Amino acid sequence: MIHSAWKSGLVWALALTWLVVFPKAASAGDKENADVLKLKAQLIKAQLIWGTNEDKSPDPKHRELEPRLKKRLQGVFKWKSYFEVNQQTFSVAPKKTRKIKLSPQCEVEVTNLGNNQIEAKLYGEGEFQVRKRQTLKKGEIFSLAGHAKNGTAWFVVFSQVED
Amino acid sequence: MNERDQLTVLAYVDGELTGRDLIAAEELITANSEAAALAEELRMSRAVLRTSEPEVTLPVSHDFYWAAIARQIEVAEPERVSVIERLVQPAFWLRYLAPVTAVAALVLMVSLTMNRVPVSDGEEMFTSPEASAVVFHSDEEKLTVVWLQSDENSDFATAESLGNP
Repeated sequence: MIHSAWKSGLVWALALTWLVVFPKAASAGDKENADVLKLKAQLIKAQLIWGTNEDKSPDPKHRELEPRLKKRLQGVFKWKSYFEVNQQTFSVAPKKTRKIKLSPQCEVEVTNLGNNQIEAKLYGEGEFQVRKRQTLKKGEIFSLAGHAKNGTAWFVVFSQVED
Repeated sequence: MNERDQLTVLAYVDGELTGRDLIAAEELITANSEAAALAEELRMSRAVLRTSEPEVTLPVSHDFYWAAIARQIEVAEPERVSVIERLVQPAFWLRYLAPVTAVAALVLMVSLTMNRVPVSDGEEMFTSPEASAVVFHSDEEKLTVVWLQSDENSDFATAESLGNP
C-alpha cells in the first residue's frame, strides 16, 4: 500500500517537473535559435548595371558606377563604360527568400542558405531564366549577366554589405 | 501378464488374429484368469461404445443435405470479379499506377537534370529550357559571372527598356 503511494507520488512529481521545466527550456531554446538566425542574416546589395562603349548613357537616370566596381568589371569585360540602372540593399534572414524588382523587366529572388551561401534566381518579364547557388563572401562579387541590344550588356551584381 | 500378452488379448478381441496366433490367444485366455478378465473387460467396453454412440438422423434427405453443403462451399469461395468491377477497385489502379508513376518520376528527373549545368566549384545551376549559360570566375577581380546566352533578357538594362530613346 505504502509502496503504491510512493510510486504514485513519484509519477506526479515527475509530471509537475516536466510541466514547469519543459516550457521554459523550450522558450529559451527558441530565443537562442532566433538570436542565431538574427546574427546570420545577410545584408546584400543587388545592382542592375548596363555596360556600353558609349561615354554617356542616353538615360539621365543612369548613374556612373562607383570606380572600384567599374574597374573590376573592366578587368574582365570588354565594355568601356558601366552605368548603374538601379540598386537595392536588403537583408535576407537565414532560410528566407526576398524578391527584388530591379527594372520593369528584371526581378531577382535571393535566398539565404546560410554559411555565406545564397541562391539567386533571375526572372525576365516574370519568366524564370536562371538559378545559381553561390558562396558570397565579403569583398567578392557574383553576377548574372548577358548581352543587351546594340552590342551592350546587362549585369545583375550581388555583393555582401558590411553591417 | 506382460505387455505382449495384453496386446495379444487386445488383438484377439478385435478379431485381428488368425491361425496359430488365434489358437495361442484362446489358450492364453483359457489358462490365464487375468487375460480372461481383460478380454471380458474389452468386450464390455466395445459393447458400451456401440450401444451408447448417438445416432444422428438427418432432417432432410441425404442428397439434399450434401447439396446444401456444396452450395455453402461455393459461396465461401472468392467471388469472381467482372472486368468492370475490377477497373473501379483502387487496388487494381494501384497495381498498375505504381510502376507507371515510378517511370514518370524517373523521366521527370532525367529531363530536369538536362538543364543542369555542372559548375567547377560544385555549386549547381539551372537554366530555363530556352536559355543556356556559362560560368566563369576571375580570381584577380574576385568575381564570379553567370553569362546567359539568351536574347530574352536583352532589354533588362538598356535605356530603351526604361522608356528612353
